[in-house]
Amino acid sequence: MQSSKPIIEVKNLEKKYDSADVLKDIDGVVNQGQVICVIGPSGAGKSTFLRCLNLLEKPTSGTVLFEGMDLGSLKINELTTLRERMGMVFQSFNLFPNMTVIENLKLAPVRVKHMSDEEATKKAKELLDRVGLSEKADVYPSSLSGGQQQRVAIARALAMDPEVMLFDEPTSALDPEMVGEVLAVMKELADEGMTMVVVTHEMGFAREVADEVWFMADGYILEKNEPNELFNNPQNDRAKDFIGKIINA
Amino acid sequence: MTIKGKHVLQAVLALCLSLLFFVSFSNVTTNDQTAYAADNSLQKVKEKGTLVVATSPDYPPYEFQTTKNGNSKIVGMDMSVAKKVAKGLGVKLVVKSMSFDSLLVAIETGKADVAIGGINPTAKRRQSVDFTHIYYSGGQSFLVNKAEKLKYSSRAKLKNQKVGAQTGTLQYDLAKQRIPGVTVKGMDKNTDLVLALKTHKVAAVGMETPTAKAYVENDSSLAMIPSGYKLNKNDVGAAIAAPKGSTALINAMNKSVDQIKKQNLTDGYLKTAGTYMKTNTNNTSMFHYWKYFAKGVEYTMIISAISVVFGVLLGTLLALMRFSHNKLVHAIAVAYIEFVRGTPLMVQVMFVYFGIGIIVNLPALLSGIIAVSLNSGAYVAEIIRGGIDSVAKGQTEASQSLGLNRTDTMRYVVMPQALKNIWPALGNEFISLIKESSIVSIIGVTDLIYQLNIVRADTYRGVMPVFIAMILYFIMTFILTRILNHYEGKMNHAK
Ligand SMILES: Nc1ncnc2c1ncn2[C@@H]1O[C@H](COP(=O)(O)OP(=O)(O)OP(=O)(O)O)[C@@H](O)[C@H]1O
Ligand SMILES: [Mg+2]
Repeated sequence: MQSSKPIIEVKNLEKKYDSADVLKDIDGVVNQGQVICVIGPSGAGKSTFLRCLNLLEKPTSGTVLFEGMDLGSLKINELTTLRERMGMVFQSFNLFPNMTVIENLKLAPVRVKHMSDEEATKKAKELLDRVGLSEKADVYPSSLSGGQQQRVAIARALAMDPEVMLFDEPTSALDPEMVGEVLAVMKELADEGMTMVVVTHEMGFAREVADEVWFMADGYILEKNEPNELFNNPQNDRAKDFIGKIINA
Repeated sequence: MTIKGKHVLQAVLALCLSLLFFVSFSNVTTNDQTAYAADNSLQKVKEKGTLVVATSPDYPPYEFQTTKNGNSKIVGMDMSVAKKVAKGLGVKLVVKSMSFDSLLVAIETGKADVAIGGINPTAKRRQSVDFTHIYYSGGQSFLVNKAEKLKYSSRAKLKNQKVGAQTGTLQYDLAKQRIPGVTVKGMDKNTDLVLALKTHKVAAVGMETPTAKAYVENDSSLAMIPSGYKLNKNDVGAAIAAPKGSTALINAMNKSVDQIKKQNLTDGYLKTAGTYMKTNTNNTSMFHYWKYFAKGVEYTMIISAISVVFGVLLGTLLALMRFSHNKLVHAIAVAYIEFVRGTPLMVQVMFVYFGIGIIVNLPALLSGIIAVSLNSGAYVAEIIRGGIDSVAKGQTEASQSLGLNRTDTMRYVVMPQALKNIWPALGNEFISLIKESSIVSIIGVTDLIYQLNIVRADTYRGVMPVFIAMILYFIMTFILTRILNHYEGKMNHAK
């Protein structure tokens, strides 16, 4: 399934806030079907990097190419077309509390893709079935557990048939017993060939699923390697230190 | 100063400048109008077949309200005079009530043709309006507590005392100028002044002799003493006011006024007024006046309910404008909100009624509703902005990450949540509207406060009507609070 057709190419990406340099000289390529895990200490810039990929943040300089298209040149109405092709899953789920589960799934297909209500409902039901939550279609998100909410959030992103899925620490806000159910859904997705960029500290997941792990600190990507190489034999001192800590934790 | 602060300041400055421009521009138009009106003031009244008279019916025996066959109407000496004058002109009399302070503004701005209300044609007033001949000269007296009649038997004995008088009246100026060492306490209504007198907050209240007489006749704890002012007759009598330069109308009205004077018709008018007052004070039970209160409650509800609807619509619009990327749109919204919140509602009500009234003649009730809605819109905008800010940033990001544009994100994701969050605050706004809309009584909208003042003036009872109004306001806000709580509970259920 994996090919070497690049979907995302990042060159010299920089992001500055008023004073702080959050991302510095970031380069990287994500090929079709690849799963990239991004790890690194808090404040390293992992979230910011991910958000620069779908332009929730505007890079200060550098280029991000999505299937060869320069995102820096997009106009506002083109942004939404880009974003519908890139799903995103957040640490805090961000389900819409004013809508039922199925309404959460149908909103974007109906409003953005102009899908008929019938079609959107059918699709939403399939996706809920896929994440094992068919019977929760008509409840409000607040009545779901964290793990269930995150599975709904994944289904909601999938409802737009994205070509890439971005995950920002999707299991960090979950109680330990719920982490597994979410990772299982993600793994299944990876097995089906979805291109994924995942910020996570779940070493087991990274080892099993990732094609590459990128280690970030202080706004730089300091090391990129296959998961086993990176975890067992890190070259960079910061990476050594960090991996030592999470393995012992 | 932050960039944002600077923008706000610029916007506010711009708004002030444009208002100044508007005001100076509208001055020009009034001058034009009055100069032009010199020729056709009489013709205009005759053509429309009505003489619109502004008055403040809380001043017995000059003008006050009475209930006849269940309907309230404005009666009193001045009304008899007005009727006679209208008849002399061969037109129908239309009476428009408002607060005394608003009478002259009303004729200057064309809200009424003439004003009557025991108005003394002082030199100061003559600068802004013209007057007919004097139709009645009642003289000046002081009202005192009967128990202190000997202590304060003349004006000289009021030296260094506190004396009450209606603000903006001749009595106020006279007391200030001609009683040595006096402290003049000005209030809007005679009923309040008499209450102050009875509770010994002032030693005496200066008023016209017939008014004082009426009080003495209706309240055995009061007495009156002569003022002993030596006055220019022109400054003390009562005359009808008309817009400056309406000579033709004044001359026509003077025919009737002279007749009244010559035949001493005011004696008869006062007698009739007296009998009306008797029926008013015969039964001062508040039940007798329930219709006044009911009408007041009705108007207060109408104004608040309509204003809250338009306030929310305007507020939503303004809040969205504030979030606009367009700098001009943003600045307009900010300037509007800051300006409205930075000026008193009372001034806004007067501005809409009298100021805008120069361009389009709006009825008082409509002006009141517009002013209160415009005011409420600014406050609701801030509430909604708070509500939008209270929706977690992640919600907008999640929506955008799905490809929804800004409008859809606002409409489907942010606004529904914001509205739910601000429901209690919106309810509070509604409740404070019920209370604050009371200010529209100054332009003669017959809301609860207005009716309250009428009842107080009619019954010579200072406290009881206030108590009733308080209870009525409380019942209104209490019921509303319950209703809002009920719906709030329902909304939380839906979640
Ligand atoms: N809007 C902002 N304005 C200013 N600084 C910001 C902003 N957003 C993030 N930062 C800073 O950028 C740096 C990187 O933040 P980012 O959230 O990308 O880190 P992260 O690697 O995702 O950390 P975590 O593991 O805690 O999520 C942090 O120092 C943060 O304080
Ligand atoms: Mg992060």
